[in-house]
Amino acid sequence: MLFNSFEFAIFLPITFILYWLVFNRNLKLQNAFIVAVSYLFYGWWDWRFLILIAFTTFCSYTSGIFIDKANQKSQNKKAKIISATNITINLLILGVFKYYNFFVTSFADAFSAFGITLETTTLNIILPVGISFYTFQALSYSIDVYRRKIEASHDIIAFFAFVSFFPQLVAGPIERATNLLPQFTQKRSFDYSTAVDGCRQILWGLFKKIVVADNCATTCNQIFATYADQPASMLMVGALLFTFQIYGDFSGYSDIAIGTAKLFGIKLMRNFNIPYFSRDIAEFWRRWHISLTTWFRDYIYIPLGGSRVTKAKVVRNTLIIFLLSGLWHGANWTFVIWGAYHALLFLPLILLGKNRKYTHTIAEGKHIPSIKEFAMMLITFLLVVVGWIFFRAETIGDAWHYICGLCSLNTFKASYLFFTSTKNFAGIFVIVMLAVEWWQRSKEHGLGELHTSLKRPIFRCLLYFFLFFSILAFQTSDSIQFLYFQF
Amino acid sequence: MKKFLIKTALIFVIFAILYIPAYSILNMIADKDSQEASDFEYLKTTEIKFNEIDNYKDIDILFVGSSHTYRSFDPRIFSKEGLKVFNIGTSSQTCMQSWFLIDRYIDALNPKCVVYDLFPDLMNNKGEESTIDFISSNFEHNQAMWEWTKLKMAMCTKNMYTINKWIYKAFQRHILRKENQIQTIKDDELRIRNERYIKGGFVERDLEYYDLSYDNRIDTTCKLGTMQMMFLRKTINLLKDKGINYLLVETPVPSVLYNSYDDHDKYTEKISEYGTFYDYNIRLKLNDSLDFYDSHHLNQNGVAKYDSLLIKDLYELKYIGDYVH
Repeated sequence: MLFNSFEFAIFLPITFILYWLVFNRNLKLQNAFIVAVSYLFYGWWDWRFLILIAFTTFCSYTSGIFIDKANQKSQNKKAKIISATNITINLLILGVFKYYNFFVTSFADAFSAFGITLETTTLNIILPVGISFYTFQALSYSIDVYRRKIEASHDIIAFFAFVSFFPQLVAGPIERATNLLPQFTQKRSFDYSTAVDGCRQILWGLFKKIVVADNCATTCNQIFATYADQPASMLMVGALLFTFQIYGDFSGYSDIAIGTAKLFGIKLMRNFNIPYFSRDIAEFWRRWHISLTTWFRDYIYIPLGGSRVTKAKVVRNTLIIFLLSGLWHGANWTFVIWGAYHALLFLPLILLGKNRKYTHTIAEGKHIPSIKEFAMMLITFLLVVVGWIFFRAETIGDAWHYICGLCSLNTFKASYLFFTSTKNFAGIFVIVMLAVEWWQRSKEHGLGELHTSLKRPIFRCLLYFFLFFSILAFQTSDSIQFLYFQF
Repeated sequence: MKKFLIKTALIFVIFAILYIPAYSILNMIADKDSQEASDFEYLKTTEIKFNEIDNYKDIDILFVGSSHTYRSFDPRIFSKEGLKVFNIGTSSQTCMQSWFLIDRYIDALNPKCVVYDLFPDLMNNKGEESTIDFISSNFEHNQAMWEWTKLKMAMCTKNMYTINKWIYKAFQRHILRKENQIQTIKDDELRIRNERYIKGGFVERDLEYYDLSYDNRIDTTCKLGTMQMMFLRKTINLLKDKGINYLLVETPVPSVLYNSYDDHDKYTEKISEYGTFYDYNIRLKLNDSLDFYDSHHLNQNGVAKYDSLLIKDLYELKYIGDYVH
């Protein structure tokens, strides 16, 4: 079920009412209800893959109990073996469904470069929606139990609710058991202001997804599909549109997920924090897909030694997490190159010890940034835009030709797309999104604590109506799926 | 909790009410130089057809389907055999639209037989194109009922773009009372450019031949969408309840298109579960260049061959009585 679908518009209010009015008396019943509706939500796409989620959840649940028991008896080796087994099983599932064909074909291609032809068999596998998200969430739990950061859960229903909680099941935020699991074991009560804030966040998320991302996608897809025939000016427009499409799409999804969770009295972690206003790449990575970045930091980078090792090892560790991050996004070399590109931008900062230079909100207490801040934001932004070309292109060759086209001499040659897209208001919506997010940059989301920024209720109402109107009026003719579903 | 529910519902209702005039007015401003008038340079098949349909009752055959239907079954050929037919095929019509149309007209037309054309490409379509075709058509009679049917179609597409189209057109028609020029047919045919609307719902194209060199189709599969199958089931059940004979057909298409379906056998098997299914791509051997005018549609040569065979088949099946000549 998509957040921007009619089905969800019916599903959400019914679920919300039943959750608070019928199932609120008993915590177990309420959790069981969450599991049931979450499985319905996921099964709407393809019910067959529910078995996979249930299996992943069950493996992590049982391994957690056994690891905990081993820990209590100080059987470290046993705990390690169980944890490793659970990680292996989960990664095997992920590997088969997501990476099998990629590795088989890459392996064969590598051999063919030496003139050896290998007979390979690829499988016709459907990629289960959100597999990378829920697998990583389940993995983090068993690792945390092994590290004694959290006690194993003995409440199977609460644990199933933790892994399958529908708002964040298919595209995150990738939650940690330390944050989310305790919320399923405590009695939840309805809080009016949290619910209202949740609604605001959903509204803002829908605006970013339906109005900004989908309208950007319409023209962007045409440009990327015909990039060989496009002048450099249009290629630049295409790259910029994709930059805002992916942000609107993914951060929009996260906003809807976090807002929906708030309606159910659950607080999810923040996933985006105005990343395009970053002053350097390190800041960008602290603000983009926070739940994944911190996952890699906590479960791979720090165990490898982080930055408190020799410079050579820092380079190795940084490359590992960026390349893995790229591969996490998809089974294609374009994602690996995208990861490597960001690693190359990040490495100078970490080696010079300047990776934590900008941790505070930009232009705090001011309306506009200084010229220096603006220049830094612009440079970082343009570097990110180049990276997105690799991310969006079908092949590395396509990305390379796209970049070559960008640098060609026919920069200002008119394009038919420019004339055919005059009814596309994507540019205006991007400006609205950026303006609101800049204005609200110290808040949790675009419409967070709006009463402090817009004191007059009439102006708040007008803003809400503008967003509501745009969401309904400027939908594209084809409902475009959330980009991050494929990951 | 109660306060939250009431307040949220109230805001939603107020916004929804305000949305309708706001959207329509914005569209009117944006659409100032609209092409409404020039629409009449084109043959508005759906509009003519459903302004004509009220003149028909107790027919022998009712044809249902997409453009494959309204460009394939020529009432003049059937009339030569003494058969009274009507063709309610419209552009990209899916099973969803077919259901609403059959449900609405079946009693009035009271056909002996329904020939239901199923085109694989439309079996997994959400029906937006066809719904917009209906929404933009203006009908002389039963306007309220038509508006309701159009809204139901728009809602079934679950596509806000389509619903917006309905809002805008309904606002123009009923709130602003905008006078629309309605295309109707007075003589036996209405000709615009190279096409002629023939009374009874058929559209004839001046004889042209299909240039195969333009076609390079990629192989595809026949997907059966849940919604379309649900409407097909409903339609079949309705016809069975009313005791009306029906024949499911697949109108011939050029072999380039037909052969591009990897799993047509499976499709045939599935569709056959709903009743007698004749695939005329197999039953009738046609020539891609000589019998078609484009990658989808029969030219008049192909129409003549197809209709003759269909009449023979319908008599053999005894769906329209015994052959008397």
